[in-house]
Amino acid sequence: MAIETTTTDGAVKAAPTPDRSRRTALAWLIARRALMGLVTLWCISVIVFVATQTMPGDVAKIILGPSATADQVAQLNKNLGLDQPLFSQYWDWLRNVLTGNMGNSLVSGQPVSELLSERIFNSATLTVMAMVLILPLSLLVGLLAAVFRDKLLDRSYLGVSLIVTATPDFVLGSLVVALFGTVVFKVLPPVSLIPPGDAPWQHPQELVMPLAVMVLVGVTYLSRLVRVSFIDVMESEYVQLAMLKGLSMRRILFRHALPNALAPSIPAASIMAAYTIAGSVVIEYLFAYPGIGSALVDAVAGHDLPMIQAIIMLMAAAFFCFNQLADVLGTLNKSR
Amino acid sequence: MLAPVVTSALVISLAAACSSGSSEKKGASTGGTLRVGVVASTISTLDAYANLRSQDFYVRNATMFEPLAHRKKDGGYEWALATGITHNDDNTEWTVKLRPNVKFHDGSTFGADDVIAVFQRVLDKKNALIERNYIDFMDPKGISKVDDLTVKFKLPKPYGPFEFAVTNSNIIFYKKDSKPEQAMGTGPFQLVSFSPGRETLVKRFDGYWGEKPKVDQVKIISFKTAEASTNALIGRQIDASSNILQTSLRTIEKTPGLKIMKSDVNLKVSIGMRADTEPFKDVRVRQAMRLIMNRKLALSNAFDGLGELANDHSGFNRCLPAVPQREQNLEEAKKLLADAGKSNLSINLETAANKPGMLQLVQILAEEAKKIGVTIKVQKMELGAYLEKWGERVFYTGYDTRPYLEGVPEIISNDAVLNHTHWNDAEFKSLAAKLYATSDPQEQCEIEKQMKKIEYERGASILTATNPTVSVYSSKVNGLIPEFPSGNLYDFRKVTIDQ
Repeated sequence: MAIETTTTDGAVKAAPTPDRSRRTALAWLIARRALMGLVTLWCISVIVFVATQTMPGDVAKIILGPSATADQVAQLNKNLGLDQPLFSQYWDWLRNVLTGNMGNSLVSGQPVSELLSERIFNSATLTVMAMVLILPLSLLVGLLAAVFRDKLLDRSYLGVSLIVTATPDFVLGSLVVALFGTVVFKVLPPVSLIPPGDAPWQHPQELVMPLAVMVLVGVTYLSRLVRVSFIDVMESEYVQLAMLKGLSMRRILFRHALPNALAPSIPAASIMAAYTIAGSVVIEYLFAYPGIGSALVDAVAGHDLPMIQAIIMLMAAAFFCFNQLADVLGTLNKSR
Repeated sequence: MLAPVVTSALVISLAAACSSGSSEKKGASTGGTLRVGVVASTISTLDAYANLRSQDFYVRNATMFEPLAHRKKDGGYEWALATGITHNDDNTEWTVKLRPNVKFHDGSTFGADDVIAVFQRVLDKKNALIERNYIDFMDPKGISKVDDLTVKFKLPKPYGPFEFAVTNSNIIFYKKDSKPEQAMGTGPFQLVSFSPGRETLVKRFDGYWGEKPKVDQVKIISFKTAEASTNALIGRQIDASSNILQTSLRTIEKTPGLKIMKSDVNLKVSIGMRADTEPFKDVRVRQAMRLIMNRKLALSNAFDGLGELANDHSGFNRCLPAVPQREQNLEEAKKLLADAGKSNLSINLETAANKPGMLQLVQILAEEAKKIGVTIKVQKMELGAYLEKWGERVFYTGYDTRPYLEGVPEIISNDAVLNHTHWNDAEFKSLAAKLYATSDPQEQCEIEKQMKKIEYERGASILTATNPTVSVYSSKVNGLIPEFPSGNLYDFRKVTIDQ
């Protein structure tokens, strides 16, 4: 919506030199979006900080356990800087982040960047691989379901996708583990053990099950959108005319229907990518995949604020970027 | 109705499947890498005295560092970095002789300076280390070097179980002034690589003073949950683990190539009653709660039949008092409550359910209590929230894995966090004073029996069962031994792997 308004405004204002004006408008748009992104991230950092402060439990007590005396708890809180006023703690963290330093883990004392660097790479790899599979498969499944609309194939697909969508990722993952890893077939490694220093793709067997669950969840969601888009297009007058003219079904589908059916699905795919990042927390935890999702679970359990902040900010930034991409693609499609 | 039958079948089949406490086998080959699974946090560190401790910390430390001695089941010691400990007549001066020719992993020699540096660090209040609780009878200024292999400890007052205290398996020694990330110990394995929350790789240390390990390397692989560790074992991704989902034991039993090993009992899940607060201020109410508990049902249903019945006193299978096994007696419990004027008692019981069987245990107590009109409302809490008010809770769960001598200081402490039941018994305290003044093991044992009898008669904990640590390992692995007292797989010196 923003692009449309700006583009229109830009065209009016820059009538004598339309290209220059469009470039200026685009630069302004990007700057505004970037600023909005920064404000969003700052708001998230405040929310996460406040949320972690209201979480029940004391970091030092969690670290030291029930055998710790009050003196020991107080001393550890002092060592960790947790005896400082809240504003001071937040300001210290923000000041470090602005200078590119994500701080040290409260629990281990190690730099957060060191603890997360390889995990970020692993999580990004898993998400990208999942998306690479989800997009074409969703298209194929959605297209087939639309072509065979109301037939057995379509009805079966709708039934299965309804069950998958209604089943929590955790349950779905556990079933897949039991089926292929531990109880029934035992053909795949039930846990994604990627040795430190190795890239995930060096261990394809370990990736099969987490990817399968992510793809299953992603495809059942996205392919239904593709299916609906295709059905709409197939019922449109220009496709009906093409059919009457005797064009082959392949030509109708791929030349005429596909570009129009695909357009509304692309923004949805971007949002799907954003959800895949968030959803990877459950998948990583379930399959013990060494990514940021499993690190987040630990950080929350240990009330390790710098780790929680870093991981949430990363996820939020990725989420924001994909949402912006969805917004831009949606606007471009609308303009077209 | 089916549950007890299924449980009994499980117990019998497990008993048949379980090995007798070790995986000894003659003629196995040497070399190879042992892969051990542990449940661990992403944010662990290599420091031998890190504040945050999950299972990877203990396994890693046991491979790379050593204590002065290892405690044995019979109460004796197997000397490690020390060769002997002597004392004066009134137990105020103790001398530790160190083992000669012990090398650190960098080839330098271990000696008195390293021992003193570690004790000073543990005793320094600024470091907030839990180990200080075990040796807080020491004065840091009273520790001195006699020669390179002798350290003298002058104590402010007599302390009898000195050997016991300084041989705590968590008091381990690293090279003075070395960096934590070097993990510079004297243990049978030395560090190769460490990735927090993922993997620690150690290799055989050829300069080790004792019997050298037979395997080339040990890979300690971290998992977030016992479920993941169990799945990795079934999927042959690891060779051994003590962090097993107990509910999966039946599946494991049916899996070819896997064996189950039980340690001696070493865990007591407890239900605490705050003795300075109503309604547990009255000993009759505390005794009534103990009589409500159906211990046999709890052992079979909450703890999957793994373990033995416990008798409301702490400590494990040594120095037991001459008292009968307490059994459920609802009539007596009802009478005691009526005498105390608490016939229709209604109370909350808070639990973090952070040990297997803990939640089921309190649910059994609540169900049994209903039969005599007592209402126990079980409240399950997140661990962080639960610990926040530790020491203030009235009716709650906890657990204990410590030997008696290590647990008593907490029971008699004036610190509400340590003495969380707030139980103050003059006779018990007086006996405790005698216990820690004598260094004679026989005398200690006799005093322990009297103290346990007092706990049984008027203590403030319901101790229903003692449980073992259950480990699972590949049948290709031989020579695994459950460590005493934790029961975990920490000692890999004798391990061989069939190639």
